[in-house]
Formats: sequence, C-alpha cells, structure tokens
Amino acid sequence: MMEEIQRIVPFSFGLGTLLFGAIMVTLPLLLSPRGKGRFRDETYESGEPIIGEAWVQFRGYYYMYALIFVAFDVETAFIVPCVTVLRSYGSWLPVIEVAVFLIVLSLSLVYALKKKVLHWT
Amino acid sequence: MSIVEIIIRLIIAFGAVFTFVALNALFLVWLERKVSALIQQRLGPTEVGPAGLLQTLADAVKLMGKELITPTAVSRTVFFLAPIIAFLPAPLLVAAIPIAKGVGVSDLNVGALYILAISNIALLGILMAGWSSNNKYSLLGAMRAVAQNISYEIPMLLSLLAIILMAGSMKFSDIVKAQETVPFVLLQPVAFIIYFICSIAESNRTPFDIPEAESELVAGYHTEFTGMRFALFFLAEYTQVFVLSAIVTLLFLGGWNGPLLPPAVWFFLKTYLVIFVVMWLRWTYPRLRSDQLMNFNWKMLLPAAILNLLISSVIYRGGFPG
Repeated sequence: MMEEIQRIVPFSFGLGTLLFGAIMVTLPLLLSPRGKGRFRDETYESGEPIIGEAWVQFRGYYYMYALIFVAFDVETAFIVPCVTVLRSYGSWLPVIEVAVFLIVLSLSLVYALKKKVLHWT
Repeated sequence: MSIVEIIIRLIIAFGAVFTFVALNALFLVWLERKVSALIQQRLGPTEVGPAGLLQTLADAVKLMGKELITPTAVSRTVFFLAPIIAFLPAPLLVAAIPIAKGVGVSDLNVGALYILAISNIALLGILMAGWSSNNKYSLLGAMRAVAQNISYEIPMLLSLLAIILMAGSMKFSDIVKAQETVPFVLLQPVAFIIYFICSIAESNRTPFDIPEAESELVAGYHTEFTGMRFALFFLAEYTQVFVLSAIVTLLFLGGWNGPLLPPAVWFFLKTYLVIFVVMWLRWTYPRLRSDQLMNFNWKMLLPAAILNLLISSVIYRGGFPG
C-alpha cells in the first residue's frame, strides 16, 4: 500500500482493535444468562474462605530485575543505529565502537553477577 | 488519494487482518490439540466437522454465551480494560508482517524494532489483569510474567541486532532479500537459537509457562476472567504464536525465498513448520522452575548473545559477501 496509508496503519489499527475488544467483552452481556448464588462474585481461592487481600507488599527482588532491565535495554537501544550501518560503513571504526560499548555492557553484567544480584533464590 | 479512498483501504486491510487473526486462532487451537493428541497417543477432537476441524468454532460460540463474572473485590476499570489491552498488539503485529515482496498491510522501515516494541503492550495487559483481579494466584502469575518477559527481552534484542547487522536494515523485505543466497540460520546459528528460545519465553508457553503454571497457580493471571474476556487472552496468545513463528521465518529461515512454489506459499509453509516445532516443544518438555528460568537467561543466554554480537560484528564488517 501507499506510504501515507502505511504511516497511519499502527494508529488506526490500534483504535480499531480497542473498539473490537470493547464490543467483544460487552456482547456477552446481551447473550449470556445471569447466574445467581451467594459465592458467585467472590474471589477464587480454590473454594476456601478468602484470607485477606492480594494487594500486599510484594517481594522486592523483582525490583532489582526491573532496574537491570532498564539499564541493559537502554544501552542496547544505543547500539541499534551503529549496528545498522556497520557493514556499509566499510571501516573498523564502528566495529571498535560497538566492541567498546559491548565490553562496558558486559562489565556491568559481570559486576551484577559477582554481587549475586542476578541470582534468583 | 482522496480521504474516502484511504478510509476504504484501511477498512479492507483491517477486515483482512481480523479475519486472518480469527481463522489462524481457530486453526492453531485445533492444531495444538491434534499435535498434543499425536504426542500423547490420543485422537484429539474428532466429532465436530471433518477431523474435528470445527471444534474450536463450537468452543468460540460457547464462550460467547458464557456469563462475564466480575468479582466484587476487583478493581473494576482496570479489570475491564485488561483483556482488551492484552489483545491490542495482536492485529498490530500481524499488520506489520509482509507475506511476500510487496504483499501485506505494511512493510515498515523499522519493522524488526516495531515488532519488539509493540509486542510488549501485551505484557502491560497481563500486569493489569493480574493486579486488578485482587487474587493471589493472578498477582503471582502476573509478576512472574513481567520478570520473565523483561529478562528474555534483552538477549532477544541482542540476537536481533546480529541479524540487523547482517542485513544492514530493519525492514523485513530487505532482511529477506539479504537471505536470497544463504538463510541467516546458517550464518548466525547462535543468534537463531537464542532468538527462538527467547521468543517462546516471551509467549509464556511451556517450558516457560511459569506465569500460568496450572499445577501451582490455577490459571495464573487470567484466573478471574470468564467467557469472552478469557477468549481475548486466548486469541492474543495464539496470534502471538503465529507472529513469533513468522518473525523467526523472516529473520532466519529466508522468509518467502524458495524454489518453484510462489513466495507466499513458502512463507506460510515455513511459518507453520515453526509453529509445529513450538507446539512439539510444548508437549515434550516439562516446565522450568522460576529460579532455573531466570538464571538460565542471565547467566547463559545474555553472555552468549553479547559474545555473538561482538564476534559477528568483527567477522561480518564491511565487504564480506553473503
């Protein structure tokens, strides 16, 4: 298809999908039966009486992974343009730049591994 | 081009993509049941339609008639939005995949990067589902899904970079064109293995299905979702399986390149072969423990991916043929 249409495809498809999803989850309201029962709207907990809420303080360990993910992901994003032109550039310069970047990146990985931050227990 | 024409073209494309998403999910659910039956020496669905082909359609109609239960304890708005957001990336991803040269809804200049960026919206949907349910199983499942997905994202991106390096472009048609003589699976075998493992992990399927591990978490993040809400998660998952296989085909297996048969046929043949392998893995391997899963990623895949990119940037720098 034409360039100008391609440019608006993600946006318009996103809108269309949201609309489709909204229709899909409201349509059964017209089609489905309404059940009754004392425990129908209770949270599922294998049939046992519910103990407390699920919105509690969560294991902080996940936070470490999130932090490291942000560091690595942003750093990786910086290599993308360099890698794209690497072959057509025709000299060692981008190779050396990528290498320096990756070595620094792996140093932080080595540090995290040494500190046992990435060791799930 | 007039505005009416643009709108008509968009609606046709949208309709085509949605028809494909629906048909593909119907077929893949049937295929999954048949493959599992084959591996476990059962028959699978046989009653509805020829060889049980219409079984999934019957199931879909059944799901339409199911009641949508919203438990009293949930966060209502987020609970309502979660399945919709989880389904949001599916058509967006299918729309970005070219089937053959010039065939497909769009072939973006940043195609490969776009796929990675958009597919992570599903993760937001999963987190919304898990948190809003106010259910311990759901929350645990969602947190596991997030930790797993963001971890496997990095080696995936790094192995994708090795492919971008080879092709010198992020556009799928250029990447496929660069594989006309030799597919990248032979030139970048390590990147292929890493990418394949990571993309299975990203789709939360066995052996990486700890987010919805039935034996410990009931159904993980979609425990509280009934009827069509559950169906949207399901639809999203099976579309993701197709998308990941299509991307593996485009990046590593030479896309629509092949002798004799038309390009689109080659593309679908390769894609459904990869889908079969993904299903085969699911019904063959046991589930990983969460510590094994995380440590495997950070201690094996990530260093391997960094080394692979480093070595291939030295080997394949300017002027290397192929």
